Amino acid sequence: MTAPLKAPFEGLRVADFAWVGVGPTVSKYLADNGAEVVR
Amino acid sequence: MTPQPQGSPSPHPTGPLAPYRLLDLADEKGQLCARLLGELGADVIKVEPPGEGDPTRQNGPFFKGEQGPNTSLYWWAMNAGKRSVTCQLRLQPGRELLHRLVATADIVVETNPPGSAAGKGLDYATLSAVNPAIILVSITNWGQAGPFAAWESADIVASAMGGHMHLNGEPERGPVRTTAPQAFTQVNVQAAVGALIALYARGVNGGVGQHVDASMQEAMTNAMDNSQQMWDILRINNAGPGVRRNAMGKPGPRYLFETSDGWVALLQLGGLAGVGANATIDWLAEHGDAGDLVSSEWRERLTSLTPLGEAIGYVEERLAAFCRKWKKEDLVAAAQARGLGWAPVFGPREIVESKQLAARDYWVRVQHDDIGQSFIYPGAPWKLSRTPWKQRGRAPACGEHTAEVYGDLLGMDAAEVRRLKAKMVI
Repeated sequence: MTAPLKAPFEGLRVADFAWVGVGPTVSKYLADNGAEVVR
Repeated sequence: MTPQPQGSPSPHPTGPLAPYRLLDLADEKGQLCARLLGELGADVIKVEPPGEGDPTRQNGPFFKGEQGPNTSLYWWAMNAGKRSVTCQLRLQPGRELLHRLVATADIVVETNPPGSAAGKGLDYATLSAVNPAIILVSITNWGQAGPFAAWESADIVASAMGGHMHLNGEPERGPVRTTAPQAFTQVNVQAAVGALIALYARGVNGGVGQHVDASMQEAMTNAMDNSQQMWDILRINNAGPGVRRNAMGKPGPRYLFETSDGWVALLQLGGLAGVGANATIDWLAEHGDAGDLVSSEWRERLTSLTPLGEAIGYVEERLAAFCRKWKKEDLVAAAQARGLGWAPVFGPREIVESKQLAARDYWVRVQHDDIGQSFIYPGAPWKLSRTPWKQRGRAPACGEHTAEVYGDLLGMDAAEVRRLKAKMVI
């Protein structure tokens, strides 16, 4: 591999309006893979 | 109910994964992952050893109790909608044939113990040399390395070492395993997510594939809520509280009660603990079951969440006596009408007969043309509004699509297929 690889979701912005308990894991997965998550 | 798909597998051109092909070389640790991706449109090809086929074809129970290569209910459930080819990976020509398939594929799912995939030509170094764009999903008990990587694995092993057994069960009787194999289920969903992320990453990184290393232990550990944090930060070692809520590592208020015909689950003593206590007390009082709880002292004590200590027994007995007088369905309907989050505990029969699932058109009836009957299958885990999920039909017979796949994908003629069959390569 030559060029450094990008995180898959780098450049994506997620607005997180998820309900306590059930929702935040979804946006955490996206953030863990490079997305910018705004709660 | 969703109409029966015709043929096996039925096409799914509107699926988001319709452009992609997946080779499924997984045992019971990884067959669900491939099925889920197939239901999103991928062309899933199960690769089985010639002759007896995949060992999970022998997983009971069997249709009509008759054991055979095409009667395992497990096989039906996990391999529905896939194609099947035979390929003997113990033979060099078989491994070469597999690599020709890999050159046409996007994703490979395998479940060999760490270090042993190379012997079957299934390790990432080999596959990525054949096809740099390939995404290899490896599902194992502990991942590809580490001090336990060589231990014997099973669902029960990952459930025990992933923390879930300890979080279930009862203080008096010890840990309990969830009967349905949740370690397999959890890791398969996580592996499917990993495959989708890798597929997306391939698109933004110039077509380079990668190795997705999915661990059953880690999948289970990811599903422990905040139990690890409670140990790390608070030094509280959570354990199974049985019929009670877990309250900071100790058994809290009871949440399971028996009715005249089954169990109900009631959060926080059916609302008797916390701000909503008065509503439940009033309801019990209407039926003459509230006892002393109608007093202002008890109301204050329950609504303020003051620890109940020994008195919890009195509160639970009021609720238990109340619940025993009702039928499960009536009790829960009345509770929900009062804004209380009570639920019937459903068994498999009630799941199949659920009005909610019927109203959502959840079940899919699948025709088994080989035996002339149809059966219901679980429906969409996600309802996508534009690129829908789709059940693709029954599970394949061993090698059902061998000639079709090798002909269409590799340009192999009938004579070559016969020659490879004679040599036990396929």
